[in-house]
Amino acid sequence: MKGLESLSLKEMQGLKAIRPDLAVIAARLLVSSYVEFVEVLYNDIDLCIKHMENDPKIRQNDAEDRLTADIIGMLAAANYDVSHDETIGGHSDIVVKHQLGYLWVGEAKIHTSYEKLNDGFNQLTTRYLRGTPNADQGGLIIYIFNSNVANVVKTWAKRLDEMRLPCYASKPCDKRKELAFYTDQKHASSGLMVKIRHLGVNLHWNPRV
Amino acid sequence: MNLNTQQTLLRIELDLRHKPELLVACQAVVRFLSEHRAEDLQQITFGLIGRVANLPLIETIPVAEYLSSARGRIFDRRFMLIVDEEEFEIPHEDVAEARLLNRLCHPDTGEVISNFEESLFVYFELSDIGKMLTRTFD
Repeated sequence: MKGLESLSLKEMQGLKAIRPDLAVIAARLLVSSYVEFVEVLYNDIDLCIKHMENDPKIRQNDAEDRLTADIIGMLAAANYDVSHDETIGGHSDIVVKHQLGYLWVGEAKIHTSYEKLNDGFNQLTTRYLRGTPNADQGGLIIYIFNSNVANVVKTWAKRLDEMRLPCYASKPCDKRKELAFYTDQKHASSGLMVKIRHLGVNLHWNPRV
Repeated sequence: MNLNTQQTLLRIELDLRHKPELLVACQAVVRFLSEHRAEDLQQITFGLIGRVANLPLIETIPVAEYLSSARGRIFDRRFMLIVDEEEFEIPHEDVAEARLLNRLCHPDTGEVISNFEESLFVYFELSDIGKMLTRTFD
């Protein structure tokens, strides 16, 4: 193989400065580990969420499945093998599979009460997420129509802290700041550690003028 | 053109109907595969994709990404280290570790390769699905 015929890792990693549109695609192409897969997937999910947050008005009457279908459609357009309600430990909301055998599962809830978020979290961590190698990370996506979205996320984080889950730890999310956080805990079935990203989606809409 | 190729062209059309330029390029690659034997397509480079799809090298990235994605499933992505005109295939797990640690060792000598990102190239092989698209007889 001639090097001139191909692109080096350096050339592909250097696209961010000159062609950010291609850099996003190159990042997906270069995924070589489960950690990289989840990191790149979260960048893409964040873009989906940003798109939704940019137009909350049209989403005020949307049901949970309709909102989740938006995310699934955008991930499919980014060439992910993504499906809704696939039977993995039941009926997960979002299932993303990578060609190297990696799996990520997401559960999405409209925030109406913290008990409902707890139901979603339990479904995700005890039913859908198997907690096995290359399938031990998932996401709880929280559609929030209330004002003060950051406070909802903060309160949810506090409730989780108080649950005394096995080997539990939480850490902030650098990218979405107060609108997201990560938790780690021991998975009841596998006995291995699993990591969940909790993502608040700001769909509040109440213009004063 | 065999049935597999026709089905694949249709599948790609469904996937990429909202991206017409990418659709045309990916379908050009699939038609090219149907005209060649798998044994003649052992290392598929961005350069080859560019010639087939009539695209500059850098613009072939979306084509290669789709064809090697979980949706495309036609290519398997590989990494090749080229040092002093010698070629070494590097497993993806080793590339992930090298990117994490910012350090890659020579597969034979064990010496640390300086600026390894400049010597590590991406190329593609046909997946099992990709092989079914190629010409099987003259």
